[in-house]
Amino acid sequence: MNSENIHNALIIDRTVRQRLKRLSGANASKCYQCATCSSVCDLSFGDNAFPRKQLQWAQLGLIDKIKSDYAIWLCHQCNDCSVHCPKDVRPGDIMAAMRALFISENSVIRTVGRMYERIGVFWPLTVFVPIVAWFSFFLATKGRTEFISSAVDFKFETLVPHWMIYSVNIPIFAGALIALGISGIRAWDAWGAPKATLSMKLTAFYMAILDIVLHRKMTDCTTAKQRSTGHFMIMWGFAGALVTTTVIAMLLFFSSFKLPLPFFHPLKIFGNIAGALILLGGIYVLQRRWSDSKKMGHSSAFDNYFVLLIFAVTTTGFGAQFARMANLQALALFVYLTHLGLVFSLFASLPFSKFSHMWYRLLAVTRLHLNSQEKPVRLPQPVSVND
Amino acid sequence: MDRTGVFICGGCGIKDKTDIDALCSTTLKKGAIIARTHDALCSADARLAILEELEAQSLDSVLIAACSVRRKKAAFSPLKEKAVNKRICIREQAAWSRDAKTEDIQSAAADQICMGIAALRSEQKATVGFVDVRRAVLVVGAGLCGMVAADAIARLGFQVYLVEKDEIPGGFLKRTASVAPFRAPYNTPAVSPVEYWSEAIACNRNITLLTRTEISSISGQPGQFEVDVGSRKFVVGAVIQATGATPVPLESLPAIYDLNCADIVTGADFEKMLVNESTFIKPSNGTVPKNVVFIQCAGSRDSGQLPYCSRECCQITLKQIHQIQKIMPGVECQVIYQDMRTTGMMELFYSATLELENVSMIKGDVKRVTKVGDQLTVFVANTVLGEQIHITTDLVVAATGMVPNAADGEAIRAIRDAKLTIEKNESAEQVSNAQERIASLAYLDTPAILNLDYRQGPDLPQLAYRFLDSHFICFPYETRRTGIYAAGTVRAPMDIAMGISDAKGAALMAVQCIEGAARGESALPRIADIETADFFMQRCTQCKRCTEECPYGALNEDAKGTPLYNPTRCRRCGICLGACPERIVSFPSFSIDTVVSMIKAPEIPDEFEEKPRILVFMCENDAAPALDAAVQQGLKINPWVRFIEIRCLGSFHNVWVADALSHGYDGVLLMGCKQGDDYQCHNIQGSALAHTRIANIGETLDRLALEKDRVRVVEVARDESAQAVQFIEQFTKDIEALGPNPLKGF
Repeated sequence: MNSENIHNALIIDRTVRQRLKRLSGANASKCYQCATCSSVCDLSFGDNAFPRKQLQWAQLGLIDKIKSDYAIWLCHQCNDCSVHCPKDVRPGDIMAAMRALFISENSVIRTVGRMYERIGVFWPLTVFVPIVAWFSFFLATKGRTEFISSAVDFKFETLVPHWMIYSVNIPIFAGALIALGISGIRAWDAWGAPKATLSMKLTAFYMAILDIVLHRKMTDCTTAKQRSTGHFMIMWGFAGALVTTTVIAMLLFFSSFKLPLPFFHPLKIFGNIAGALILLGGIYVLQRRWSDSKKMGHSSAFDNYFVLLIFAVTTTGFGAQFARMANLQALALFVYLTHLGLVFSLFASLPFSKFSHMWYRLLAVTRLHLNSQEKPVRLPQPVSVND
Repeated sequence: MDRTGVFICGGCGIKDKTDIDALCSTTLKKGAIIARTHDALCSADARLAILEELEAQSLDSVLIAACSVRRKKAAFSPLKEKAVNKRICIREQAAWSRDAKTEDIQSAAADQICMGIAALRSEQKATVGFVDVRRAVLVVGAGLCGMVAADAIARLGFQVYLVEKDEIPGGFLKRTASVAPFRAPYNTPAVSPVEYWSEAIACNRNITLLTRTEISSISGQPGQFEVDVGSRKFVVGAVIQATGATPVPLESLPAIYDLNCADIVTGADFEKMLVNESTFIKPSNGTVPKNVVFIQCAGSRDSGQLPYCSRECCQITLKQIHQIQKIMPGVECQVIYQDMRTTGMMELFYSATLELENVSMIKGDVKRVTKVGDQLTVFVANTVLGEQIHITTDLVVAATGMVPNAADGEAIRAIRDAKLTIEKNESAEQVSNAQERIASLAYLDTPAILNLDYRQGPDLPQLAYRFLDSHFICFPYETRRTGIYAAGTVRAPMDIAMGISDAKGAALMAVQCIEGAARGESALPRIADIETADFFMQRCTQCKRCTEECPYGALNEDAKGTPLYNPTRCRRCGICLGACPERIVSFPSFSIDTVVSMIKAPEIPDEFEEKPRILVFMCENDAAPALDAAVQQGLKINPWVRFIEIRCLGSFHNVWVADALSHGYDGVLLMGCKQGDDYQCHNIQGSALAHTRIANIGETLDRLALEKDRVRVVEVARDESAQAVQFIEQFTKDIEALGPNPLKGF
């Protein structure tokens, strides 16, 4: 055994296995490598043994392998593997856990990444600290006196000035985007992208965006097909809300635009529809997740945190709006401040939580399109046993 | 026998292919007292008719010419008590098998019947040699299997002497706290069954437990073994050897294990570390390990000196993991395996182990176990990933296999003989040969265990991998010494559940053997055969061939080398008959004379008729049933072939070749079982003996001025029916190419 061989050897990391177990609730050790998962998986073609190989990594805790594999991001957890697995290893959940681990390992600030990996423990910190901060800010500024003097014209603007919101949210969002961008570039490098011209990359990127916005892959799922509907609604709702917020922010900056808008203002309608989509999609996803975890997969704290945070942001947004319209001033104020805190939490979690999956998945699908020339011929589709 | 009645069956299509009446008249010409036919001889009314004829004609022997002797045994067995009877097969060996003109089928059937009559002529009536048996069994080794066997035998009312060299019973398992499960639900370790069985044997007054005892000698034969254990002497009817196995020690591990590391232990050593079911420590520095790597098949199978799977190590490892997780739940356990061989119900235990926390299974080959820096490291190649991995660990448990606690009696005898040769110092060549033999057998030169007073050596012969197995496929529990049975891990690698059933099986075999001996009957394979061999001692030249070649050690020798026959040790295979150059060995229904009369019974057509004759001697154990099967499947046999079934190819005497060729047969084909390590021969070396004997026959054939190619030995397994027919076909073609036997018609 010479030193060179030792150098090349893969080193087993036991803690990685424990982390995956904690994230997935599933025990990869039970896998006896029968490859049933690979034979039912739509993504397994040629000899890539997906996700059997990934399961072996999980068993051995080979973190470097997980970090340099973009294929884990192609999986939309349709859970065909989980329902067919003879040992009930739930490969779908383990793949999800590997993605969570990937996010954690790839984050710009590793400590924060680790914290989000164990969000089941740390969520009070990430959720309540911003809320308390906003409450403290409110209590420490003239908003409080305004509120106590109970001016007739109840406006959020007079209580919490917009400049304050922007000066907090814009930097945190921008910072989160930068952090996520850096993480993405790191991941892209770790995946070892093939040499390609910029136009090829852009084409692949464009095709990936088309795939994702149309949910082309996700609608192929059979076992967990409901997930696609919920995800579609949340994603488009979120995009709508983001557009509305951006447009309003622009208008506030560059024109004499005044809030609040009347309820039937087109922007308001658009924003409310987007919020409603998120709410409905969120309820649908949560209901499916919690009622049929066999088919939909295990809901870890990592997953729940992200879904519930979006859900909570939307709910508090609506709550503040309706309370204001009903002139329940104290309630409106309370919900509004909570909403601001939750929005901060959501932005801050972008590079560390499941939120970042949108970016990694986009890159992975781009990577797949870039790779499509080398992709081996697809084997015939397996016949689904259950349906 | 001179009053033979012949009964010819016309059923199963025999009468369509042959002229039964003509067969009857041929039979009468050959000297039968009566010849009768029936459409179904196996029917009840036919049997009554035969019995009536027996009385009416005062027949002393009956020849049944019908289907194969392996068919309808029950229908014809009642005749056995009334008269000497013989069955000749005219269905498979004539009517069904010959695709030929009617006259050729007819002559095939007639010849087979004539052979039967001729054989009966020279047969003797067998007399039952009752043996005064002692209904007691000696069980050697009071481990789990020994205790289970003793208990099973004692419950049948037999006396049991249970001999154990240790101070207390329990054997290997008494040093373990818990064992892999051997009963439902198979998901968690079980309490060692040793205590239960120790109590069971202590409570049973039929069992005499002799601890701290070893065997000084065992002499005699089944039914009457005289056992001397030093402190006392007693007589038993049968012996069970359940001496168990020993785990391979650390020092025997292959060089990939760096034994300078103190933290490598064997599975058996680790068992001792776990025996208190409390915390365990690293041998090197006394700290508590954080992780343990188990290596399966250490020193076994592909990777070591034990080429076989010991069957138990996988479950023991799983059991030890359960123990670790119970006493120290945080300890990481990793198992490196080639395949987890947890067969049968043990699959449930395997699955239950995978459910535990901190357990992972890694398929791969261990390439090196050594220290890298301060850290014990295991290098594993050929993993599922296709890459080498290495695992750092605190403790390595190498699951080594087991070697049977057995001595090879035949090897010990061979070494003793070789030493005597060296002592005599007659010629330099002999001495150097003897020294070579001693060197090649040195690894088998171990102290005897049973100390049998047998010519073939003081212990049972070992078979593959030094286990005391016999004919694995057909006769489990049997050994090559009648009345002595091996059970448990000394017979084959096995786990607890198998060991318990093995012990019970051996117990029943021992009881069966004693009861058979009491009735004067043989043990397997000629079970219930009451004939014994007769040695015409006046002509014995003390050449020792019979005593050396007897596969069952039935013959002892006196100081001069005269054979001393032990009838209850004998399995009636007839190998002594085939061995004896003086032809002094015979059985009542099987002797040189009976076969010679069969050979000479058919009339051989002269060479101008162009009807050659081939004589096929078939072993009754494999070749004959294979040929039956071939015919029953519809294969056809050349019409020129005539068959004689013998007990074993080892019982074939070379004189029969000369007789057959001088009588005018054109060729002689011998069909026996497969020889070699994976032998199929029911008598172990019969087929191999036939090969050596026929190889020496050239001289005889030269004297007769005949080609050597007229005699051939072939091997057929029980399931090779098509090959059996092909062998006959090929031989017939080759003989036709040689031309007719020049001795024909002399």
